[in-house]
Amino acid sequence: MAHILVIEDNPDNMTLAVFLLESAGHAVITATNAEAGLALAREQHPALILMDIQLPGMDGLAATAALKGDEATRAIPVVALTALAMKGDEERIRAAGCDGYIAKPLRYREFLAKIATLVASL
Amino acid sequence: MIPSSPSGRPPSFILIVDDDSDNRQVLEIILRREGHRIATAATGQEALTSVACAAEDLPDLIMLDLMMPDMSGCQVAITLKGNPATAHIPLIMLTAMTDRATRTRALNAGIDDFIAKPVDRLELCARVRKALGVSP
Repeated sequence: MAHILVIEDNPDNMTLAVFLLESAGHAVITATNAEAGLALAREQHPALILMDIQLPGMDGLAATAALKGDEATRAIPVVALTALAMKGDEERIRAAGCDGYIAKPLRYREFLAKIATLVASL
Repeated sequence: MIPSSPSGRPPSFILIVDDDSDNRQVLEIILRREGHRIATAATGQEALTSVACAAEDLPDLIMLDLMMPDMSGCQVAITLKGNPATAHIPLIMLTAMTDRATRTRALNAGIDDFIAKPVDRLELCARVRKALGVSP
């Protein structure tokens, strides 16, 4: 089971993501903004980061670019949590350095399956 | 003062999860008459959302349909039993399928007891009391 950092500002989304990840046996740490998330990533080196894209202040794409530009955190896979569904959004997410994305609202069965696949590949 | 049920016991909080609205309604009527407090969910995802966001007000018992379109009752059970916050909640599965393979899969998922559909009122009430640890 993995040590997973969730960066998400919406309390309901956070509660659900943490509940589902803990149910699957993962240890979860959380941050509600990009700056706190970056600090936690540098301190604790989680195995995987789930990153909301629309965050207050620094957004998730800028935060991902910062993680991927830092030698200490570059290797941590970042998966975007996003309600963005416009054409070109996936390209922007990939261009920022995200290793994958999960659409919101979360569909639990798919979410758990995707996390299981990601964790198995770590 | 805590309101008491017709039986004089404090009411329990029961979550009914079934995609069939008639089934939900039948269970709700029977269990309300027993004095329980009821919430309902029409999908596995709705059930998990309500439990995950319930904070302190967790159900004392969850009645779970096996066959639902978004997530099976077994998947819901695995998620609830896998989480330390909800692992203690007894789960009763409602199923029209009573073959051994189905029952075994459900037991492995963490289901505590079964009720066959169509539901018999007396059996339902007895199994609910047993799951809640209440004497008849």
